[in-house]
Amino acid sequence: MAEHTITSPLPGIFYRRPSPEADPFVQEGDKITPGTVIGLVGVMKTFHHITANVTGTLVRFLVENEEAIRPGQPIAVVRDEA
Amino acid sequence: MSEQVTQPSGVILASFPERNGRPSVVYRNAGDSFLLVEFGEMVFDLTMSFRVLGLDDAIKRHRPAGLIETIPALRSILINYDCRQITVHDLIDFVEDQYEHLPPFENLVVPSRIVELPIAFDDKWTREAIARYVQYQRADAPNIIEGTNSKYAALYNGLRDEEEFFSYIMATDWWNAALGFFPGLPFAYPLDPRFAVVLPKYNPTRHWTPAGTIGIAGPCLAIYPVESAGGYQIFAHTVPIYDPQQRNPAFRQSPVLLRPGDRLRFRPRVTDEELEAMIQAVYDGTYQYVIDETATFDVGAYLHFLQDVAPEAEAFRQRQAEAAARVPVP
Amino acid sequence: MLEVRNGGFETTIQDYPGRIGMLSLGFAPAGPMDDYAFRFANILVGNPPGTAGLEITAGGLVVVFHDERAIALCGADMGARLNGQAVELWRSYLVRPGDVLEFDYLQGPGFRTYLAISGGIDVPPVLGSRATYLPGAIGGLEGRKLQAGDRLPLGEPTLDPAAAAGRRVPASFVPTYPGYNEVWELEATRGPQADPDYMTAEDMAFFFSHHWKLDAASNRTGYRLDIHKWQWARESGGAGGGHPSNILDNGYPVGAVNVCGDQPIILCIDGPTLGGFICNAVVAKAALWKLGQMVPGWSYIRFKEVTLEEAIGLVKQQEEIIHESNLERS
Repeated sequence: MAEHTITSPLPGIFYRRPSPEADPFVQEGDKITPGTVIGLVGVMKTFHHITANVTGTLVRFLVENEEAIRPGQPIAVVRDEA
Repeated sequence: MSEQVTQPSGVILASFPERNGRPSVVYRNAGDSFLLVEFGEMVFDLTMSFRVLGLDDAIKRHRPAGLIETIPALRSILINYDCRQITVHDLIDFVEDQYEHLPPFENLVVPSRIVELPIAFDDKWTREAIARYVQYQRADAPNIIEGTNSKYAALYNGLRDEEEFFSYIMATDWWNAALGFFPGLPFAYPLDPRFAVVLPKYNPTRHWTPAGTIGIAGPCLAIYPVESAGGYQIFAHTVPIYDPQQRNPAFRQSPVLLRPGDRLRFRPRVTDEELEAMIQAVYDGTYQYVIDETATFDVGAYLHFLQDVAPEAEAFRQRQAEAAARVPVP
Repeated sequence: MLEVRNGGFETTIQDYPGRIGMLSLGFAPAGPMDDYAFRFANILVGNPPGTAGLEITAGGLVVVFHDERAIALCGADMGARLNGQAVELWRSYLVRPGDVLEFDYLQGPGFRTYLAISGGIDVPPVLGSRATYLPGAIGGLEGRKLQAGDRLPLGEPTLDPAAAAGRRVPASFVPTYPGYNEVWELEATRGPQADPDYMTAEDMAFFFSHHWKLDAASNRTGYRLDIHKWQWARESGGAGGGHPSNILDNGYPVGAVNVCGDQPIILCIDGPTLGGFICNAVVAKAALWKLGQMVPGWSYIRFKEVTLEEAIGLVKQQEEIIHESNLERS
């Protein structure tokens, strides 16, 4: 078991939901696999998916919903169960 | 002679009072590459556009080195210049010289094409845009009645119903004073004041408007050249006025159909299905836009016309004002 | 030919000064957001400074060369590698058929990097320019950003690529970009609608002293700044509309600070050309490049007031800096 972080390649605003009224893409404790969308980065009026790169459990988010993030900043911690 | 006034902040570079029937002019600083030339007062006066376009034409014909291009609008011209080639003061002197030598206003005859555009009222594209607005943005907007803005437009202008509103749109030619905001978007004003409808803007602004939609805000009519956000009340649809792929002979010279100084005339009235076929034909290259390329506009004759219809125009204005006072604003 | 393996986040073909002469039809000039880095990149490879190259925003681009050419990268650090070897910014390199140039994501301050290739990118000019104008979907390659599979034709270099390679911009001319959460000083003149007739002197004093946060929803069209409760020098916009920020539509200078209600928006090189809101300041032409390196959502701006004469001085100074005679052999 090892812990990984998911990072954003882009600067911008981090969103945990696809729209303000919708449910979050994932909750802390959810199982994820490579390609699972965990959030969006909004910049320049466009939105980009942040996806998982490993199989495991999303342990916790490291940034709040609608917080500004930097390129390369860790967004969430994943515990892999391989 | 010149009454040059420089404010402490340097915003107004020069100003000249009304002379010999020519409206006052103010030259405003607009950075190191632009100069804003503004005429008369901030009131809606369509006749100002004829002077502006007359002067704009003279400026382009006598273009000095360093003058790059101009943006004429209803009562102003924004000049783009190269500050390495011409000073702003020489540019002001040049524009003043052109303004002084403009022929008397009443004698102006300006080139003005007549562009006929088919129109479908209360069409499916407009209804779709309004439906989305109701669903995603504002359900209780007073300017939306039974899924349209047309009933509200009739109420706001003291007209019997939407059919009478549509007949007003078709009854006047529309003077295209300027193009801008988006590529090819016309800012057109009614030439016949007896049919000059007015409308308030959306609140909040609509997120989505399909290309080809016709709308009005204040006295101004716009056609949306590309899919975009928008704030005008919308009620009709027409054929494309912008085609970046230049698929029709009308777009061979430029992807923009219209020019400043064009007159728009909405005819014939068509159904959604007929318009859809016309739009398809535009892209096939087979649709023939009806444009009178050689038409001119006689300002003197128009001023006489305005005098003749003044009582009727005033009666409509009063009727509008009374109606608008009874109708909620968005 | 240049082969695109990955278009990255937003990569477009641009030339400088973009599409000139179309403002009155509603076309913004487009071109590089950071023309300082763009022009230097071209000079490094022996091109005229305005030659078409790539604007790479936030990284992710991967390209393969099929010809021998000189190339240069100027702008933000995106960890670029040529065949796996780190590439320095602000210097020229020789590339050979089969060489792969890859960009990672932003490694520090700055937001855009420019790739110049000797001979330039030879897509057909549209309305006099190869610049991509996204709002009008024209120019560059099919009016859009680049994507995997695109193949871009290259022009013939005028200078032997081997001779153009191995040159650098002297360190004194390489700008240092303020970091995340840091303040950019941006030279600007007062605009056409400032104090005393539209805003109060206090409004303008606030404008030139506040540290304005750049909103994440900022792009080549407009840079959105913080909402502010302005005092305003008038009650309403009169004929222009109800709000004191409204005016009768006029042309907008490129780089104007457009105050829409409470929100100032810097109109960038893809921005609207005409509209009905005041412009209280205009960014100096020689400072526009800074906008290209600010990071949406992170950068702050303090507008530094300059006079018209000072702004013109900056243009002339910049022309002398961006010159082949200033390059060094590395």
